[in-house]
Amino acid sequence: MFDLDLLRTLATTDAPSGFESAMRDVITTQLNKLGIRSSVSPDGSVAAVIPAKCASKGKLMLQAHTDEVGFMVRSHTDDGFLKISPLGLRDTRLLTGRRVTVLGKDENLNGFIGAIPVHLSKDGKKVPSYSDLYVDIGADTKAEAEAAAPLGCAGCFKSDFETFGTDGAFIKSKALSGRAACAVLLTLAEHFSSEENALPYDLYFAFSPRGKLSLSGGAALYTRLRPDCVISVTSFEIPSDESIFSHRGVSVPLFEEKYTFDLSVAGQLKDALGSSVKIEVTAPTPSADECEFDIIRLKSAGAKLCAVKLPVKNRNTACEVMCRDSVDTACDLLKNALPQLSFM
Amino acid sequence: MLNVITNINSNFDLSIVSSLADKILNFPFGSVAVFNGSGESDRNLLIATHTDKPHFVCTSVNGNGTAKASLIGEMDSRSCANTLVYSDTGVSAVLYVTGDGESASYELDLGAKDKEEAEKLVKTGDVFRCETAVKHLCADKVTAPHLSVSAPVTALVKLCKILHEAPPSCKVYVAFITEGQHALSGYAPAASALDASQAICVGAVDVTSAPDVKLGSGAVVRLSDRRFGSDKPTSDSLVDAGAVPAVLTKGTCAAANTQSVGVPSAQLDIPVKNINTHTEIIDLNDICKAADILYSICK
Repeated sequence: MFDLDLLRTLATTDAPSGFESAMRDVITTQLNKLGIRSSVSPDGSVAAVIPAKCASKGKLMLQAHTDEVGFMVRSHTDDGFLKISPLGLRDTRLLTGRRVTVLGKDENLNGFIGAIPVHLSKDGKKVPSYSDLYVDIGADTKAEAEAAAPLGCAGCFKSDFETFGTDGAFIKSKALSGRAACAVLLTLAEHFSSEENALPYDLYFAFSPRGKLSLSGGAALYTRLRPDCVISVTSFEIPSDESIFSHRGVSVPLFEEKYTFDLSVAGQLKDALGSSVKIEVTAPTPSADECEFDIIRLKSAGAKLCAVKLPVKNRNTACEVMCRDSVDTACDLLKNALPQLSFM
Repeated sequence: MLNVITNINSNFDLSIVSSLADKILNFPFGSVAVFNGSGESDRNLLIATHTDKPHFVCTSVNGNGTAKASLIGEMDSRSCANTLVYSDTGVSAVLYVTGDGESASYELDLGAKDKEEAEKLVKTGDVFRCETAVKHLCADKVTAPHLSVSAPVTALVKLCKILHEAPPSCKVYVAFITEGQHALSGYAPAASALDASQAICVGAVDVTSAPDVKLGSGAVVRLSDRRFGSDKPTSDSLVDAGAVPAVLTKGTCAAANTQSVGVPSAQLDIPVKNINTHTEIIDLNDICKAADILYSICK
């Protein structure tokens, strides 16, 4: 079973796209504890390797993203509010009134996202645009706001990590979609770092930055490490009209609208746990989102690619929800599948 | 007064800077002027811009002696309607535009009386370009089509002149990319092929995109846009060198492509008014400031 406290630490770490240093520290500290050496690329990617137990039969890379959606300070108003621009955030409907953390000049600042109140708005039913929204950090003047949170500062949601449901079966937090994937990779790193579980090939762990900014991400590490196969651990959105109860496994997609995955590797993953655990093999939402852009880039770089997708509700909001089971299933799936995996 | 270099396109050759650089490298993605530097720093700094401009490609000849054309690159279709365009083979035509935006269609009036006469003048694949003459406005402002391409190229040529006179501390690759209008696709191969440790892409930004972006205010460092987040140390060093920081809500930029191959990248933009129209306006001082800022980083 994965370490819930580890996921709590990962999910509550503030690391909006392009500002992932805090996540890098958490990950490298965790890898150091396991005795696994890691390196940080100039672009902020963290890579680690567990060498094969004897002559290596190839290289497999597990990949996850370290960043979360957020915003950047774009300008300051005379009233001391921060005007913001999105970093991967798309849906403005759920932003008003949200608590946020601004990575200020000297310290992290608490704030909240405000907007013109509905009763004062000319068109109360209109979805607010970014130009309608502001972040209030409690500054009284423009100068005070500029000093505390200068232009270019980033921020992200501030949201408690909570479990709920029977036996705490569900998790709610910000940034769950990416951080659960990181937790899966770190759990696997712990498992495969012990001598008895060592694999017959080199196992790389790639923690990529800027996944929410859709032109960046894991393809850079792929180009550097040149693994023979990549398994991208990522997430997909549970449709709004479907219950989270119906999505307790993981998805191993065979194809999506714009690409096909490596059917041989996907098939081996699908078969790894047998029918006792539900593993959905679906074609998730056809709309290209940020993870899919990265997958497209990995594909175009020539990667033999497969994905393990965790179902998450309300992705890229302050209140992402998922089943604890899903993280366990992903860990168990890969623990069982990787020793026998044939990808050369 | 600074002359804006306008006679550039995708077959840009480096004759203007070849005598200035230590070495010239030619790649499928473009040409690179290499400055070896003094070796005090082990950085491999890539400074890149693209040289190809939006243009029209003849796709077929009509029965009435006109020709259909497609626009390659971004340009406001309304602004180039009923203007003269010129082919690389010396043929002139009036460009007619019907529709707007993505649904716009383009027709070239060659003055031919029928299809047979038109086919003597053009064939499918011929490239037509807008005129590039620069007109001076008041103060140091100038207007012309495609200044958003010409101005960054001019800044990089000016940078080459400075680097020739005062060598940099690190190795500097000044790259003139020929695949800019095709989704900025030449930048990522450049960053990979040159094994750059840091990249600064130079482009243009519309003056309406952020409050502090103004003609004459200097070059702008783009901290983020719809798909790009700048490498903070690189953008901080540009701000320290005098660039104006700006956060954009729209658009995308070349630095996103160099960043995507793992090279820490920043985007330096020259402010342009009426961007992607027939009457782009720039302030010549912004070109000089951009070159000076870039040299500060090389130093």
